[in-house]
Amino acid sequence: MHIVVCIKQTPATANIQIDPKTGTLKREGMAAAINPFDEYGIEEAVRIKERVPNSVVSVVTMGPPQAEESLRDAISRGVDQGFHLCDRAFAGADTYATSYALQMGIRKIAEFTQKKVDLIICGKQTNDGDTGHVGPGIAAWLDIPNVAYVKKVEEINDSLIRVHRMMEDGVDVLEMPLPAVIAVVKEINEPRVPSLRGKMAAKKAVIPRWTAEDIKADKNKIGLGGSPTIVASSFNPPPRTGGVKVEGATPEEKAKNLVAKLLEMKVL
Amino acid sequence: MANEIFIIKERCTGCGSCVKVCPVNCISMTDRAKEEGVRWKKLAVIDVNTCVFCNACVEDCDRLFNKTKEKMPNPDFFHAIVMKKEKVEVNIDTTAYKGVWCFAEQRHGQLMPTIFELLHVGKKLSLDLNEDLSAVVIGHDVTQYAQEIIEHGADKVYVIDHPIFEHFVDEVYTNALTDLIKQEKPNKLLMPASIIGRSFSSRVAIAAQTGITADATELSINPKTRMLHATRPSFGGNLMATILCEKHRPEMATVRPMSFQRAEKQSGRKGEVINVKVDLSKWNIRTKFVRYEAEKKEDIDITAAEKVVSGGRGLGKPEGFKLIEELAHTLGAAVGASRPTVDAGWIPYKHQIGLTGRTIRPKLYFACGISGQIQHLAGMSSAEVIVAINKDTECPMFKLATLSVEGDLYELIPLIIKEINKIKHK
Amino acid sequence: MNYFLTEEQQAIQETAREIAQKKIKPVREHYDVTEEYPWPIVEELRKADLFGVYFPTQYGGLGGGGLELCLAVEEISRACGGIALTIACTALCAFPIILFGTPEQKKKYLPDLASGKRLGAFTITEPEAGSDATATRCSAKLEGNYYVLNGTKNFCSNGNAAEIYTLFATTNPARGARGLSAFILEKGWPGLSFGKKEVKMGIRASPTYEINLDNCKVPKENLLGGEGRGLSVAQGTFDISRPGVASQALGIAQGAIDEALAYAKMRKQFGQSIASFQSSLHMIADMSTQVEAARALLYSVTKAMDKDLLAAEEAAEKSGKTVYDEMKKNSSKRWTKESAMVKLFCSDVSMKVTTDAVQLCGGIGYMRDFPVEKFMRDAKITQIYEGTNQIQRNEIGAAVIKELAQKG
Repeated sequence: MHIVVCIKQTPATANIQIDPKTGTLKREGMAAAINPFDEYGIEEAVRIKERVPNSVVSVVTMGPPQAEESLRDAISRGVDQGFHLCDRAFAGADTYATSYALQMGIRKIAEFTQKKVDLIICGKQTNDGDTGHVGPGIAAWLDIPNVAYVKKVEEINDSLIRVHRMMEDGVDVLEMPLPAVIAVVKEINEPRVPSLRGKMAAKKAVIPRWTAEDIKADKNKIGLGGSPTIVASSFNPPPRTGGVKVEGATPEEKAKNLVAKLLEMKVL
Repeated sequence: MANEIFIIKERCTGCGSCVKVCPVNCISMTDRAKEEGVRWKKLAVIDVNTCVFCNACVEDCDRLFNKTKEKMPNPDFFHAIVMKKEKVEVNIDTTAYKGVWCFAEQRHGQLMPTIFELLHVGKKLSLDLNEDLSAVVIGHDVTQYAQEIIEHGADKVYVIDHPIFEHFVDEVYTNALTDLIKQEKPNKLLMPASIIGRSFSSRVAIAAQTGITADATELSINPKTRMLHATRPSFGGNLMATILCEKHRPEMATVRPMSFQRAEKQSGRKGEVINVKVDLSKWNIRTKFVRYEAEKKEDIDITAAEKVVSGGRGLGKPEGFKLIEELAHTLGAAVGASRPTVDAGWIPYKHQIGLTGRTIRPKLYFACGISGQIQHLAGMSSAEVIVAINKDTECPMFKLATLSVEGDLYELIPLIIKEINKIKHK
Repeated sequence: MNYFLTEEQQAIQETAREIAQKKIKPVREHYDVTEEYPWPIVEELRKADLFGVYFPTQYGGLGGGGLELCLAVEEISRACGGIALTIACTALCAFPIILFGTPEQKKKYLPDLASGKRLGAFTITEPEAGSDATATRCSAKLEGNYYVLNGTKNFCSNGNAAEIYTLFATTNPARGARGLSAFILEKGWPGLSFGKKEVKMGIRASPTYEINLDNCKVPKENLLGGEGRGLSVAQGTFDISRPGVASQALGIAQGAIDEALAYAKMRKQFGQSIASFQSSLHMIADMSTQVEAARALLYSVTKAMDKDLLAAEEAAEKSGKTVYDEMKKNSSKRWTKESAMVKLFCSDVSMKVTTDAVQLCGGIGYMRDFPVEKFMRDAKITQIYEGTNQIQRNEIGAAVIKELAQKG
């Protein structure tokens, strides 16, 4: 079985801070790492590889040259090979253009490795974009089935996969023939720490770097130009007011005011 | 050709204004080399690999140029950033697309209340556009809900009713909605940012060859361009971004639940119900729905949970955790605990938060009867919103809390549960 | 401080640190309280290849030596000194096989130990024979192709979790120390059973068991190092293995400093953090200096020792002799004195530093709420096992006098 995991290098969330003076994101400490949700995707792929004989796990990312580090990191966690879609022409892509480029990359991986791709795994979402759109998007471009919010792979063999989808009110169990796409949630596993042999393999790995032309991407569907959506403007949300005491003459009033405040803060 | 952006060194004053407006933080200031003979000390540098070519810095630099021009003619600085954007021809007649659509989600044959929030904001958009407001409901035996949707403001309801839609399957729902979009050409399409909405909206967008904004919390129509301005939080809420879909239709967005209030019901309101026939033979459905398992009352893992409700010594007795669990269940939150309650055997260790327990970083943290000893704070102080409920207003937790409520938790929590349920079931 | 570790050594340190901080720290209290065996952590260590860092590559290891082992054990001990014994006890079982094993023995047992598939234990102590190994009662009689073992071993660390044991018994009680022989045993063999599980002061995540041998048949080929060479096997092993205990002690000390400093910075009294008081600063200075000195000694001794060890491992592969014999041949030096110094110094520092860490934290330091008291309890054993520090002093003293005499 050939599994491809799609990952993204994103700023490490824990370090995202707003400079109170300038109101901008603080640059320092913006260490880049594998999007935390993708780590679960990598781990699940490696676990499937351990379960299904003769499996190979590839990992692909689209991003600037430094994103190669994230591919090496994935290799140290048990992935066999990495592929890097790296071209200025990819920059500024929204989820439409990103999923287009990634699926073209996946087609190229199949051609390059001469191994058809059976399963594509994405993280639930990225911690910088928060959309969760790329996984289903890839499935749409490839016209193959997909399930998102996967919290368990119940069964997998060379021809089908049965997964548990985490819903608000329980679990839906679905079955898809392969090839298929799944997007996984944190609940699915606990990622391992990179192994020493993995680290050595990661250091030595030769990672092909492909341009838009290499993956035969349609120039009208990639990067900023190929993105239907654009960021028109961005601004900092009003700073959170700290230390507010919820007032009210009666407990009923206090409860009401508290819930109203929480609603206003959009945290319910 | 790729997109290009560069800085005309001679014109950059090193003012740093562009650094502040850049949404992706790709501009930084460096020291100029001395021999250049320029009076400015700093120079802006753009990391083109991170740049999303949003034009914000260009506009900002031009604004400064225009501002300076008022005082001095022909200033030879500012106007320093040049962007060459790749042009892609898109030939879509945007005027052929009419109406605001809202997707009505159903689960196990029950209409989900998210549609009423969508109808509320959708109504406003439809009035601004002077176009119809419609809803689409996909399911089995769901025709019954059409009238209720109309009474909440929809002018038209498309009902796609067939046993195949009983359960949510990405491919099936995508086909149904995409076919309808292609046939009816709506202008805007709003979907809930629920698990179902988030799962298949992107598939629909690609199948319909259009753009989508995820998880919007604010929506408006630009009166001039008639375009949808969808604003959404990114970077974990640290930055708000307004997204446009200029050339493709429909403009799609998923809307974060509870971002808008629900539309008022107008009993007896009239509207059109359209039963959509589907041609299943065209579709290649591969996914099989196997079964649904109702949520067992299993604990949510506190380290992964977005919301955590914790109890402390202030509960006074082990039974207090029943109340904590009830509140957690109402919120969809995990249950946490402070050290003394775990030591007392009121709740297992895996719930313990703090120095000797788990460290968590939820969006919402309820500290009920927890005074906030330093060992506990170490495990949860980076929560985004902290609510403290305690009798003692002098406790350290009150100093840290975003919102603090003074009072008896046995009195307050049931009332809070009631309030939340009111909103949920309204 | 920069100890000029190689890239591989740094990778070992980082990997062990990541597992220690992410996976072990959250559960260390659980295992301390319940005394359960930390199997989920063993699985993490296995997956990360940490069991294999000091094994020759031919046997599935990563080709490192004592320093590599110490780096791993130190980082794990920094989170939990008990859980570190999963690796450290396995090393104590493996070193005699590495040093004295025949090519067949090495092929049979080392790969499983290197992968962590099977854990190891070393057992020499008996009710009557502690520091005095010559008082060993446990007997081994050769009957045909088997040695038949009878007797009781106690205080076996890694107890029933291990599946491979290096065990000492006397093949000739009349010859005292020269009658002692070493054997490799496997869990599950008839006649090998576990007795009492000890309840301990510290390292409670590591089970300590009594082992009973009742006509346990051990194949002749599992005799390790030859009949009557048991004492050499034990001493030769300790020369190489003692830095392992030292690194455990060092990690425990560092872990206690980490916790105590974080608390001292947070805790305010008289309007200022308690770390800012001069009395605290002096304690912090002493603790940090002692730990750094201990680390410097440990790393430099293991680095020097590894040169001998790795060269001998390579030579043994070619010659077919044992690593121990190759080590003796190539170097006139034995490492008894230095390895005893490392063990003595690191464990004494650990006891001192962990005690001070409790003191620095005041009342909270004494509470089970807070991990510092656990470090103090865990530290104590490092002064006792693999030769009490009194025995270490004897060894060092004797070696120093001997060196003087040799110089004339």
